[in-house]
Amino acid sequence: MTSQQYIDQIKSYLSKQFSLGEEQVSEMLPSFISTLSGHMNNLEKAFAGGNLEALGKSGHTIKGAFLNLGLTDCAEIALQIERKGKEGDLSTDYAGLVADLREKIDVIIHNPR
Amino acid sequence: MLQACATASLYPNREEYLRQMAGKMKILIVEDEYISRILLSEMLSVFGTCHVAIDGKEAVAILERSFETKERYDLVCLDIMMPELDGQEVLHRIRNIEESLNINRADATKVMMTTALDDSKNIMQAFTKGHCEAYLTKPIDRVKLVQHLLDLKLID
Repeated sequence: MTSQQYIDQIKSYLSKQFSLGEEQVSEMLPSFISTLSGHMNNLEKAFAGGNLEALGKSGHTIKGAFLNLGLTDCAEIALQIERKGKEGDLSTDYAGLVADLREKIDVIIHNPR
Repeated sequence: MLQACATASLYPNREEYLRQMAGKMKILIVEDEYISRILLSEMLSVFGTCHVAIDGKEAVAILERSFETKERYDLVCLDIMMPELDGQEVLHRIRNIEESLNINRADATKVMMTTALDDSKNIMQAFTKGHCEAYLTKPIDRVKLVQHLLDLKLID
């Protein structure tokens, strides 16, 4: 998906799911995108720290944000990180999952309006 | 306890209804995730005054003060997984305060747990041990939220 497609998807979801007006959505969106970016940084820090429980918690936080923005494909990846991290599973390719999310987030934050 | 009692049918004009409803109910939203907090506030602000706490520790401080000053909240929306104190512990503290003040179940604070967890164990614990009144899973569904407010007789 392109940046604009992501943004349109988020706008449409917020508008329908929460009955928000176009102007409200436009006002909220920059802070929401900035929050996503912060959550992603925290997830990467937790991964770099090698603490699976902390990684699971960061996965949980960013998953909630994705769900509220209607980004179900990203939420699925975050859910895997959350579940496997909390289980302390060592066989999961966390690096791959985190990189997948980073790639998607980078596309989204490229155009926050 | 304050109860929002404006009836939509009395106000055919939606703007008028919302104006009448504003400030009727006192709501505390306890949520550590910014986007969830903003969206929940946005949805609930039409029914009353929303205050927010960003973690369980802050929530307990706000709630303790509200009991002391007798300016209790009509509704507390409580996220389960939070840093410092989780939602289960905050719920436990609310019920302990109410017990110490001899507040009976009928007058107890209405608590709605909000969680992204598809976790029956956590939800059951909130119902059985903490006597929460309702739960919502994320993403928050506006229709379900309003239905819970109706069921809890916080709006009619």
